[in-house]
Amino acid sequence: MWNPKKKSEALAKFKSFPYPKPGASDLLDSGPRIYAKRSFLQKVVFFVVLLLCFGFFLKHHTSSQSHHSKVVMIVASNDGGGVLDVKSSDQWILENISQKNKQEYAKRHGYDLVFKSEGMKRRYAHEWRESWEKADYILEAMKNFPNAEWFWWLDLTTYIMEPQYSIEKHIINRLPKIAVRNITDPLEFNPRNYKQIPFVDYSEDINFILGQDCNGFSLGSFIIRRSEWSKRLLDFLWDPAVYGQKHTEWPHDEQNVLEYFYEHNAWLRNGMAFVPLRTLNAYTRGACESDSSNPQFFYNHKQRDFLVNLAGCNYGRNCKEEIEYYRSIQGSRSGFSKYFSFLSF
Amino acid sequence: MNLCRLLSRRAKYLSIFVVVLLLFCLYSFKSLTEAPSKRYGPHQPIKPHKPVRQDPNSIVMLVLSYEQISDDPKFLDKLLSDRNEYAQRHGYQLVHKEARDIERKYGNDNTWSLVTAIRETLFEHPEASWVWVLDPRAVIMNTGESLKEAIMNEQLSNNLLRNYPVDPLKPHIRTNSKMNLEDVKLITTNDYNGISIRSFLLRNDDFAPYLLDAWNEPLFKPYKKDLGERSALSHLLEIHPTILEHVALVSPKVLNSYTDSAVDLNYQEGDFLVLSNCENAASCERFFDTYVKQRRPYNHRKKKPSS
Repeated sequence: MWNPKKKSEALAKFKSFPYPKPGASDLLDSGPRIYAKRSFLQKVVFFVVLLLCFGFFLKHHTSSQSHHSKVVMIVASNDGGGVLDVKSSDQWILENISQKNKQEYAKRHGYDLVFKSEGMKRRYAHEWRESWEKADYILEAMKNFPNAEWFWWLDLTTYIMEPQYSIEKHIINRLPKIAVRNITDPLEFNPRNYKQIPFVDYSEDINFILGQDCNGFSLGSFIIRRSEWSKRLLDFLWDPAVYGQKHTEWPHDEQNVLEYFYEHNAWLRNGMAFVPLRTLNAYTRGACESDSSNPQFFYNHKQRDFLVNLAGCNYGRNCKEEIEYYRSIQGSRSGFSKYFSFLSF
Repeated sequence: MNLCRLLSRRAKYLSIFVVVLLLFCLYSFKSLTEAPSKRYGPHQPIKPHKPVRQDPNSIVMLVLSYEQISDDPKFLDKLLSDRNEYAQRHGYQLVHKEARDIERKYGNDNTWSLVTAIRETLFEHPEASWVWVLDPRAVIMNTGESLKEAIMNEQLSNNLLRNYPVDPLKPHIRTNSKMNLEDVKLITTNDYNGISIRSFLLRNDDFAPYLLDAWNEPLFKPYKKDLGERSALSHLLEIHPTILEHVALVSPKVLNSYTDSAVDLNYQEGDFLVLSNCENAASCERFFDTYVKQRRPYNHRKKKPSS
């Protein structure tokens, strides 16, 4: 019977064959084993490398998909969207500076960040839902970032002056110390002069953190938490029966809506916490003209206020110059405090 | 000897491979298990701080009497003692409030006395898990039947009208087609007039303050002038999905039978209760007496006629 093995051996013997001739040397005699060994080693190395690549790919893929951050920053931008006027170069520069500032901050603390265009949309035009788009954007963010608990809304004309403060440490963990639940208490700051109403339960969870300025609530920078309360608030905020009768009286849109509902709705009062304005929304000089001597509203560089809000800079002031000024003084400290700016609180 | 060396080399490589594989597995599982612990998804709402434990079986019955009835103490007593009898029989608590008192106490904070009365009741009875608001012009016919048997629990999922229009004139506004029993916070009926508020159940948790405060919105009164609380509630259901998603409708036969409506809504023997549209205490009393006489002893073993 023809034995193929024997045949190849014979061929190897007699022809110039790539395989060494059987019997040529001892080492080579154990040839098949060496080659098996080398190919085994190669296989091992190959699979290890493959596994590592797969692992990196998997990690990168999963971490870029599911956001683990507990805080999401939502920044309004593109105010007007260039619909009524063409956006000037100053406006572009302002946007640029503000966006870069937020991006650096978000990167530093691992927060998720979205920029929401507040261009003029038909849905939000007059007689429809002026400026309630904040509510829609927050609901959208709640849907897109299912892992996040806190949502921080920022206007475009804001600048984070102390980026080493994290939201958790600076505000959320300090809430028992800095937050006021009952502003109808005579000792508390109550610019809209709210009266006490029955059935309020201040032991409920905090779902909304904001400050008050000289006129009332300030929604230039506020934090809202994912909860049933927030969903109900954002749903109830625009009720056409109320909007239809009141919107002409409301120059500040959703700010006034919230102030209005705060008057009668005890469930709303349960979830709101008021912090000093300078905690997360310090104004510049020029805003709150009526109360310009009161230091509790205005940005104080020495005391390291967290964020400055160029409130009202669109009316008669130059936003771009102001934000460039604040950018230039950010981080500049005199004396020994300069060396300790890296310490985060 | 060669074999031993070879084996150990192979074993060495194999062991390296296994170690790397183990490390990879540990690493990937670690990063995957970290994610869920940081999740604060919408399916894990943080419950509000509630120091009082609620008894899932405790129900408060609220009777709010307006002037016509409050001014006739004889009828009022008769009515209240009858309700009390029912409440005692089934372990419920009866609460009686007068519209006059509510208006006086709350003044400007009160848009509809009914709504404020419910708010007050829920506040005063945090241990109750549900409140049953029943119009004083109603007569409970099947007094042996507890609310649980009539409407709630298993019966509820049978009786729930899913994907049902809230207002027959606005068929696009419908209740949910899928509803869990825990999500149900308001149980009522609707008819050709819209949603009924003469006999309904409201759960005592964080949803009730939201609903009641929204319902009491002072600007609703000038908006829909003539129709009152009922139209304010239907406005809320139309516009706000965070309210509509918690409303369950049941068939009127189960909770609300009428006497002067179209035939299919009228009272028939076996229905739970009957409502009247009596305008003053005298006619209400007559109605009351008539129907109390018609009460039959309820046989627990007899199956309830399906509607």
